[in-house]
Amino acid sequence: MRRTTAYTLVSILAVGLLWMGSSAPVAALENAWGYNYDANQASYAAIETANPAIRDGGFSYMRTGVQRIINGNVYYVEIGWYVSASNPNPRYHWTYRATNGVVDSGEGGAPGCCNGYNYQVLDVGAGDWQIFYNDLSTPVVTVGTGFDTADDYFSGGETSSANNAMGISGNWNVSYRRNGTWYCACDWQPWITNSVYYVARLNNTSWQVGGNN
Amino acid sequence: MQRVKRPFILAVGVLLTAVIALIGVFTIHGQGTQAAPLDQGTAVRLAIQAAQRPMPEGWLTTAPLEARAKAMSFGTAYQIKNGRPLDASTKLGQDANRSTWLVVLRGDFTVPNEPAPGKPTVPPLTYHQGVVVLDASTGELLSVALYPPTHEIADSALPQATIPTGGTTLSEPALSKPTDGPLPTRVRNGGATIPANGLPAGTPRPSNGPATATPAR
Repeated sequence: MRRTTAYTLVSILAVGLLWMGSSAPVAALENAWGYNYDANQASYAAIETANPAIRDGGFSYMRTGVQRIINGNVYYVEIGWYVSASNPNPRYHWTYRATNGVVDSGEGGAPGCCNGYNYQVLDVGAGDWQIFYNDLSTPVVTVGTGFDTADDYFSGGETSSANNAMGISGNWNVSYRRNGTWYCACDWQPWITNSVYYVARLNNTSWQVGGNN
Repeated sequence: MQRVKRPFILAVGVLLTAVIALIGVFTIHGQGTQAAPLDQGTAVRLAIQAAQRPMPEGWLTTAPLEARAKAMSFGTAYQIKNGRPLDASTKLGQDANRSTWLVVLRGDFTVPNEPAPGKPTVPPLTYHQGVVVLDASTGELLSVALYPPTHEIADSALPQATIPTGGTTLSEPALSKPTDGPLPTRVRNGGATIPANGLPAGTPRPSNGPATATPAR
């Protein structure tokens, strides 16, 4: 009986070690947003910069963007601020996944804590979107995504794992644009993938995102 | 009088020639410095470090199998990376002449499928080609792009680079930029320019995802 138990324990340990050794790094991103499924061609938020703690070599990111979902695949375009273990000074970070699968990104600037800065993505036709940081009159870049209308808008945080802090950031006056008209995100809903994070209402179109700080 | 003038003119001439020669030397030296002060090895090492750090769009999970690198303007790097020219009317377009290193890496890149509320979670994808663009003077990371096997860029014309083995990890370039002054944000609290109901009258309401503040998993 004792021998059987020992064999079982050793087997469990061996299988566990094998599993740990063979597992590739998993992209276990955590998100906390305000969002809604409203068809749109732009999203906007004034997002406050913060200095979240990075505890495991990963990142913390706070952004607004839109998603286009085709056959379960999520294509997106977004911009916000980003800090990582190797570069704790916040920078703007934009990224998109085009419908051909290419993902592209860029970073720069120096948004200061704890001010609110303009962040916006705006469709300009032919699958192209303009991405704005701070200055809403001149885009940072024009990118080719392959889609012109998105299925949802969102604004909120993402971390590389639940070890890292998110925010704390006000996502103010979140809005989306449809057929040339801007609408407030007054129908927003919270979405949280891990209970260490939160999305709290500030007013009917603004929310605060944070957690694990 | 003429005896006094000739040596003076000669001296001025020699001095001017020397000054022009010195300016020339410094200009040529300066251009060289601005073009690629980071050597290829340092650029590749910084690019690998940048590619291996977790980022929202994906990152390199293995040691690179191949590296190619070339110093070029940001405009040229963007054209190679994106297959289209930089939009001159954008802020990056105004930076088209910036000196950069373009580094193409091959290896395994994990590309997370961004989750969407109420939709099934799709496992991350694996890509095998990535491009990193760095400022040639400071090593500052400017851009990263990752390509699925069906849409890899042609990179055979770029010079192959030696992949550093072990050695010291370079510290990421310190970015001590002055903070950007925040410009006025749009009117808060759903102001007059934004309809309060969120939808134009008569628009059918799209179906929503789950409305919950509790964890989805």
